[in-house]
Amino acid sequence: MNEMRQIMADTAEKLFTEHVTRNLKETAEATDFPENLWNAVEENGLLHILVPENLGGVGAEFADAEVIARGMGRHAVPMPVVESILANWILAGAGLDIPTGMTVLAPVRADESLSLMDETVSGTATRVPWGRTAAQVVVVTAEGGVALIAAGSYEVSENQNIAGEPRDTLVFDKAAPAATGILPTGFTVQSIHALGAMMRSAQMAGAMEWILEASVQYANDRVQFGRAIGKFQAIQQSMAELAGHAAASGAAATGAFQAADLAVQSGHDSTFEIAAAKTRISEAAGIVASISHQIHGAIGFTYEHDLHFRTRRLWSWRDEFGSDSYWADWIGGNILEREADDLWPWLTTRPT
Amino acid sequence: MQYFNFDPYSLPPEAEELRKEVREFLAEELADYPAVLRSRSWSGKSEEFSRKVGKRGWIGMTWPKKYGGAERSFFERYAYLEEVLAYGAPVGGHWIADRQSGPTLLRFGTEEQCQRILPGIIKGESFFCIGMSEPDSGSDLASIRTKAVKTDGGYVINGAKIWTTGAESCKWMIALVRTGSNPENRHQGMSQFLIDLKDSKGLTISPIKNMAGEEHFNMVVFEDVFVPDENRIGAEGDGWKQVTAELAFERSGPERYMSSIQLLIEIIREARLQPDTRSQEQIGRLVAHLATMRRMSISVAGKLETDSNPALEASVVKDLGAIYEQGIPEIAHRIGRGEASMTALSDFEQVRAYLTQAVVSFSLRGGTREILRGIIARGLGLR
Repeated sequence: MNEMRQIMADTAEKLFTEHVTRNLKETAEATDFPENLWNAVEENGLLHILVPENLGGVGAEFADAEVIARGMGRHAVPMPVVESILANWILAGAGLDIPTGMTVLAPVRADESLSLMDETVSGTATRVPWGRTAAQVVVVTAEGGVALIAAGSYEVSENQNIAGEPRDTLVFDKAAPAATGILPTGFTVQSIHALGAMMRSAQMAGAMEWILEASVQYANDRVQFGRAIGKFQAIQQSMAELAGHAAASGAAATGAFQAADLAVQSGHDSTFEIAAAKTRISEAAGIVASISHQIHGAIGFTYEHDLHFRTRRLWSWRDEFGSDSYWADWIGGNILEREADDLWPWLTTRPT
Repeated sequence: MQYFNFDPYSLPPEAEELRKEVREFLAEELADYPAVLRSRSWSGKSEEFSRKVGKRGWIGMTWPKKYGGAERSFFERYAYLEEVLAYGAPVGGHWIADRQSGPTLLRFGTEEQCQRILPGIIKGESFFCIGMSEPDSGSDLASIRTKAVKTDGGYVINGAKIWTTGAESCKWMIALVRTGSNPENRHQGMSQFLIDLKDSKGLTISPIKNMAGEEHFNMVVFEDVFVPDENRIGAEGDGWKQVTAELAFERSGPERYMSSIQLLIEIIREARLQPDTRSQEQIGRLVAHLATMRRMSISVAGKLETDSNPALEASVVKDLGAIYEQGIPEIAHRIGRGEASMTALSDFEQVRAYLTQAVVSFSLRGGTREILRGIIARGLGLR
């Protein structure tokens, strides 16, 4: 891990360990947004990690942002940090000033689009993370236009995901942007959607890290039939399976961020690596959640236990920014465009 | 708490150069090699092909030059392995010698043994088989009973080894046998020996036909087989330590997730004839897993290169890899429209028929799923 990445990892870990208590997570689900933690995250530069230094940001790489996204998942942080990181990166790339306050991203679904015509934005975006809380939204249009729109210029109806995270519907009716621009060269609304999938991949991998550790701990602590349940082969086999999926998820997520950085440096497309990660990890999410609950027994099914803050997020995040079905279909479509015998030569010439 | 580490590695340029060379060689040598034979992957063998690979310097390529090796990196070897597996080349003859027997000799053998034996392996002329399992000892390897008793100038061995792939055509077996016993610690008192299968009295090698109709494994019975002292590998009693190291080599390569890749290729070929959304999504899932497995496997190769011991990571890759390999025939069954058969006209149905049967062994050979998961559980701190 390079120095920047270590600093980011340490900063995020320290902040989240200190602030993200069970009480904070519960309160956040009751829609009380953790304002103080948000301010601390902003002050520590995490939201501007991808913004170039000359624009007041950290100027880091995607791989540095990965450690933040993993921390978000590990600690089940109930805030739109990765969405803000992407929104600020888009604004910087479009040459727009980066406002203070929470900025989120719309649309977040591949089957929805917003239009920018005559200098106004129209359309509906559903499932927007923390749409109700954001001070402004960065809209990316199908044509690659970028518009910054302040809260109050769009209607919000509240919704949420399985984990109780706000996923709101925003209706734009000729909303006037505070600023407009275009996406950086080489990026499209699809690639922004893919970057969202990349972030969710790392968040899921992070949640799995916590789940694995907590499950090992529980299996070693919980005594039945006179010994720790982790001594039973049935439990060990399940734990090994869980560990395998967690390991694969970590490797896949890292591969996606690495590819995204290479894409910026060399101009090739990194959608495959992201699609592979989101597919692999979303598949693992259900298995990891299921095994960890089985290990934890009834206590893990209670609201009081911390496990559900991760498992309910896994079930939510595996759907968001394209599910495994969505991305597997995308990969399959690309593979079928090539000769069957090209599979291996193609895979092995992807940049790493 | 980090239980394992799958740091990303990139294969260096020299590995990619070698990959190109290997690919050209295979395209030329195996232009007409049928898909169903390719699907035998590293079980397929051709002595002629092994000699040609040896001539190119690709067997024992990481070994010291003084024995005929090329002192190439593990990454170069990795790229070579990937290519022969992706092509389904008949590498089974020299596979075991190249992967684990040679490295065992280099690590624990004498200078005399290395000089005597490694050059033949490198030329693709001297093949090895593994003498670990016995009729009553599979996963519980430490329960082996084949016994070597010290005699003048060597040892006399009695007992039996089973599932010895290739024993009928190999020159050598590395056998793990008992040279003593300690009721307190059953991992003590084992030693490894080089057994000359072509030139020892008292050996009976009988083929065992598998359910797919192939005869590549055997039962090898030892009746008062004399083995000279110079064929003991390492110190007497060090067998368990050595065999554990050998298994790390056996479990760490790309063959642990690539053995069914010919069927994935045939699935894609078949789907391209009649595209539909069902097969498209399934292919996407298989390729997503393939890319992830490869990333993890290269990470293990990187650890071997840098000399750290990736036994835990290798077990994770082998466990996930076998599940992946075994899943491919199931997906092929779900998206196929015909009936699998070894006598079918289509490559897809032939390859599917073969691998549907063959894959059951993929989570048995080289350590069963249950044993690997036990190793992983220990790595997690559960035992």
